[in-house]
Amino acid sequence: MINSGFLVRIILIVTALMCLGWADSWEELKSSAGTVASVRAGFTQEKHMKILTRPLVSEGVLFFQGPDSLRWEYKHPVQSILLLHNGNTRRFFKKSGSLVEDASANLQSMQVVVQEITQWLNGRFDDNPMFAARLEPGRKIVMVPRDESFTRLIQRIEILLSDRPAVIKSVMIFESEDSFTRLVFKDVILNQKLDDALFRKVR
Amino acid sequence: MKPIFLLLTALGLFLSCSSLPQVYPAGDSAEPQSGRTCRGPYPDDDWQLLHSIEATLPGGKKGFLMGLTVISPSSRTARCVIMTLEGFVIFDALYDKKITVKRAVAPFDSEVFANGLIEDINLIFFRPSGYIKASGFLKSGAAVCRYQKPDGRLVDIINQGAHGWEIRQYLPDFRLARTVKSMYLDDHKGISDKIELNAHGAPGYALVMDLVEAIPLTD
Repeated sequence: MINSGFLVRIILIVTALMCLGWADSWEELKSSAGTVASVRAGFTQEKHMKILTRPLVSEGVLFFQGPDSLRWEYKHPVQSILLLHNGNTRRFFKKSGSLVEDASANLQSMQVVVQEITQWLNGRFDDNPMFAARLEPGRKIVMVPRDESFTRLIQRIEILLSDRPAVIKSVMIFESEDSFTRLVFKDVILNQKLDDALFRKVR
Repeated sequence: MKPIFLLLTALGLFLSCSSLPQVYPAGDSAEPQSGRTCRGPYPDDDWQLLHSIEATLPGGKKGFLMGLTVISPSSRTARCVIMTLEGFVIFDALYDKKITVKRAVAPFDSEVFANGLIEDINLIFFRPSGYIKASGFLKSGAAVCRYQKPDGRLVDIINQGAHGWEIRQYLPDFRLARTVKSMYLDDHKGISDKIELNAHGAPGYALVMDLVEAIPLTD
């Protein structure tokens, strides 16, 4: 029903970028990325659209364990959990107090994602054939889709790196001129030992 | 043998004909109640509504989405945005007498989907167009108001009291096409907390919409 692989891909780009280091060059980014094994962070997601009187705000937490385990969890206002582990993708949605699996997830496309994340974790996101990436002053990375048809989905992604090495501050995903999503990360903890069950079980 | 065949044929024809539930006329004292029922659960003012949507598709598979709807009942216009839980817009359309699709990502990029969605939004949020054909009570005792739409379809608005409202849409041949149940758990100025839509026939589907946020847009 939904090409969730595409969505997961974007989430993974964001997550992988969190592992990219503070740097002023692609080489330094790649070097910093190698020092990160895990990420734990909170996030606030703002959905901005021209028609909205105020942005839609969601909050959640994410856990990442290299090379390819991810837990992307929304806590508010709607609870849902995306799990990625050993090449398997599952998504759950809280309904009437219990978590129900979303059967619409496109699991096949995850194989592609898993291959790409390895590149990103190595800081080689400028190698990604989907996007043309450029590093701008002020620790800003701008990624623009190479394929014209892909710009119908996403016009560009802007990543703002934090002062703190290996941490990013925010990500803005522009879908169109009047619609964008802003993710702001907080309480980022790197290289903490994470329980494997986080990526296998919803609770 | 022949009489039995004819009997079975007649029985088959009888069973294939659908009929509408009987509306029992209300007395004069029930007029205020009838008026309330005919107004239905529809908002009068402009609203921005955010719902989490559980969609059950043919085969029983479930998918989860977010639905943003900006409605203006007075002008019968609506903006409908469907997003993934992550906030990616996969369908965006404006309805103002005709549908203008601003963004549609496969598999939501078909004309059939856009038309069906706008029809569902019309049924859920806007009082039926056309005229009141009958009002009164169903056999169950629930108050009902029946609208005849210009295209031949009929809509029953049923007041289920504490259980909320039920809207049933029938095709011109009286087959039940859609059922909408609106439930109220909290005070949202007349905006229902939970809406269940069932599309009958093939391919059928069901939507359960839980209200996440309701913002009034009228001063």
